[in-house]
Amino acid sequence: MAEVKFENVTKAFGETVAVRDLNLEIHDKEFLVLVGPSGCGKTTTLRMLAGLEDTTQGRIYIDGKDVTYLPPKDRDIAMVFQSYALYPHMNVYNNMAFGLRNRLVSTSMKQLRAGVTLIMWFIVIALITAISQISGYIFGQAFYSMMMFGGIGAFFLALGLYPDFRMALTWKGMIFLSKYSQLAHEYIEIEKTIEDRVNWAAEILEIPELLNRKPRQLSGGQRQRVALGRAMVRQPKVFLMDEPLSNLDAKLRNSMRAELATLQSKLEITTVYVTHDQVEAMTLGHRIAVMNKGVIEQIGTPDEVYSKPETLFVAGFIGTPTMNFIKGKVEAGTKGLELVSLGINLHLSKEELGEKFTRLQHYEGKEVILGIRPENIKIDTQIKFAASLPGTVTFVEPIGSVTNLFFEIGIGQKITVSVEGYHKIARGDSSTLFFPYEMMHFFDPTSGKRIA
Amino acid sequence: MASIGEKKIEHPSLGSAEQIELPEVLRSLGINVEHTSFMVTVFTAISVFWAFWKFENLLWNRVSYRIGLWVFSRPYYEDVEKYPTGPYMQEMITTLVLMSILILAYSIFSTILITILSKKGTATRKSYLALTGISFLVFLMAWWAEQSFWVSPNNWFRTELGQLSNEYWKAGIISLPMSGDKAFFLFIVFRFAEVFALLALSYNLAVDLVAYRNYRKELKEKTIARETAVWTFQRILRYVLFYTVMLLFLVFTLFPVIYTFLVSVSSEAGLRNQNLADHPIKNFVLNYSSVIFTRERGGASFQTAFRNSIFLGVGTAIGGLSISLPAAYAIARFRFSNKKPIEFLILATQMFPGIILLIPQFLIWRELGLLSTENRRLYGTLLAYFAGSVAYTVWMMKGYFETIPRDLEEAALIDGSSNFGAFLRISLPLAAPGMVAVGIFTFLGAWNEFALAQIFIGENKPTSPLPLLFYSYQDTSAPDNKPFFQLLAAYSMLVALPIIILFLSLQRLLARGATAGGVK
Repeated sequence: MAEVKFENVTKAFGETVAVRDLNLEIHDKEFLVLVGPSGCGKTTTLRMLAGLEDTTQGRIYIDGKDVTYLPPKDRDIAMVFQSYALYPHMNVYNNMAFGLRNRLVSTSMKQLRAGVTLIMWFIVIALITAISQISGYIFGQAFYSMMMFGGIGAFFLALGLYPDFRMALTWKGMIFLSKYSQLAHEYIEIEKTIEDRVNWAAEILEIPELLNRKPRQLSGGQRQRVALGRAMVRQPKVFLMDEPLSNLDAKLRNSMRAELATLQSKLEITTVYVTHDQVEAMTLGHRIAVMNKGVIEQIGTPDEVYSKPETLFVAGFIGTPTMNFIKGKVEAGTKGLELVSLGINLHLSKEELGEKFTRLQHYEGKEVILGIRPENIKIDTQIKFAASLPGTVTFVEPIGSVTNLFFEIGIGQKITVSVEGYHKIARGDSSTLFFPYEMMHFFDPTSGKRIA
Repeated sequence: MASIGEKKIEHPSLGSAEQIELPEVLRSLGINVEHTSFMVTVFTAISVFWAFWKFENLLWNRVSYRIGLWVFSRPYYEDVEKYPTGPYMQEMITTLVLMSILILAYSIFSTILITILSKKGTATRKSYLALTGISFLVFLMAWWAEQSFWVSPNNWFRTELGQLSNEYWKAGIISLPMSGDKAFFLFIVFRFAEVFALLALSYNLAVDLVAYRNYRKELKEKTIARETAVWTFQRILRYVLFYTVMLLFLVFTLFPVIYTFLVSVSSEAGLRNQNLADHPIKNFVLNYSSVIFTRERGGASFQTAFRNSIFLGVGTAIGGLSISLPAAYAIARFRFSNKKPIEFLILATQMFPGIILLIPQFLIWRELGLLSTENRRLYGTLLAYFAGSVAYTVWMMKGYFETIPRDLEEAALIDGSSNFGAFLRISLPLAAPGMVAVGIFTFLGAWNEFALAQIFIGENKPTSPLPLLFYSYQDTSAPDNKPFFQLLAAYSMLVALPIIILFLSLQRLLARGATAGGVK
């Protein structure tokens, strides 16, 4: 339904630049995850898209329309906050209907609604006055003033504290007026539409029995659902989610993650999701944008980001345990090139590396960083197309499904290896590590960019 | 006797002592029918009754009566020889100190008892009997001593012994084994002993009752009944300790209020004769109705004054809030230039006493013509009140708005509200507790304000608020314009009543508002 486009967007808070020259296109119906360490500018990006922060430079487009200077209410977006931000004084139904009431109701109807509300207030105040008068005749002036001020004060207090009561009052007035006014009749029609929509969202989220409760009577997971429902009922152009799962406990987070993904694919609404959790990013996103220090380092599908990281930062940020890095010099060897580091001499075969080899040739005599993921390194079993190195186990970390082995290679260089299942190798044992050429990543140490 | 159903259960604390059959009636009344315990129960019941009677006399009749006389009868009878100030004051202080010491001693004693018992785990038969026996002996001794020395507090206070006994003794009118001071010292010692003994007895009684309850509940473990009872009673004692201390504070706090109420249900003759709260119901009706329904000279009455006060209080609260809420919200939420100086300016108006503004305010108000008619004086006063309350209200509400999470307003903005809509529909309702708290405090300020109203409005006018009605209860025919104290007290109670009702009904909101807002 809607595409989102950031065009050279910069945001600065005084001297500190939070987001620098951001260019990002989010496709229709896409689930885009903005991921990065805290303070990298991902939330600021989201808030700029929501209209809660001004941009210092650049433009933002939603569905081809320039929204850079539009207030949030005119952008047709919905946001799920980290703290859920449910209105504590309204029940769940009114929480979810709040946005719809603002949007579906025309200005003339808003005026009518305000008028009816005022008239209802006057009726109640007139009743209080009448009762006060009567009691004043019986008990004296003092009682009159006490009843009058006390009654009206209590009434306004109730109006403020219980918006549900205020809305009910308006509803009653509108029902009365609908016999005489077409506009009031339309209001009731709209209220019915709102009810349908809220019920629809409640059905999907399995919370129909919670509609009359106040947010404080809900558990964390239920609040999360209500916050989602509030965003859903409006069917906005874009969903914005600011770490919505981070306040849930681990078990609930996993189940909600799966539900969120299904929900998004069902609703087909463009979604921008901010998180610092790479597992959420990998599982939820159609595409992932990895941010660091206000700059997008890489945008791509989870697979691309994982298997072909564009920068050193992305390579280190995505994946657990983190990727192994070996810094070394590329030198000409007997059969092709060699990576020489502290006590390490890794053979880089021309035939196996293929295209990577030609790019590496430019770096002959210079330093590069070799990156390889722990799960790609093999031990013991000889495999084809791999460079081999001897190593000593310093620490074993069995997790269950995998075992993390910490090796020392060369002079004090540390390498992590993940092997499936339980592994018999013990601390102090020596073994040969095999680095498959296919899984090797090479980075330029000065720019951090990928070489091959 | 000890068998309930078919099981034979022994009383755990007493071991297998021989049982005495007693009528079923006693047991059905819940009285512990075992021999020793039953004796203790009977003695304790008697002593508790006795103690209640004594304490009731000591704490209430004597003290309150004497303080009342000291405070209120002096203006009538300044007969220094017969009613010198000294002894009354002495008595009052002595009794209050005594009360405090007694209550403290009670607490210490109970604590020691708990410690001993809990260290042993359970009171053995021996210690139990020893405690009971010693308590009873001490109690008897004290009782006997008190009788023989004739220093019971009733008699002592009744005859103003502290003042007169030495002279009586010197004159040989009464012959006592000791002089007044020694007798008084002994009285205190024995009174302590009495109280300790009583406490021990009551403790045993209570433990026994609980033990018996457990016993009847057919607790399966034989040894646990008494132990459980001790533990249960320790819990109760902990409550008792807590409430004793609270009660001590409560006595000092509530005493003036209760005393004012007692004066307000006295007749003038009763006050003159040192007879507090004579015919309370009759005097209640007379005094309160005469305060409410009498029209004073100058057209002022309690009813008009009440209405004026409500007008001023509510007007100040609502006016002050409606002006300061947007200001407070803006300071709490928005960024604008010179924010810090403006904040400081608002705070600075609170830094000097309001009374020094009185004369300039009076001159300005007069120039503005706000003091020319009676109605204008009332409105002028309202204006002065709520102008004075704005700074306080802004500062408090700013603090309160800062506690409301910004996320909520942002959610409302995204949900399609304008900035003002978010303020009106989200922030304002959520700030209601703070508004109520601040509103009540400004209301109170206006309700109790005297100086400004006195200068701007003056007493005995149809527009005078309640504090100025104070003047109406003077007896102008008397040479020193002394007030009618019973009417003054009734008026005070009536003025305080709306505030009390307000505070009680909005207590929960207030607690929330006062803690969440706060002054930074």
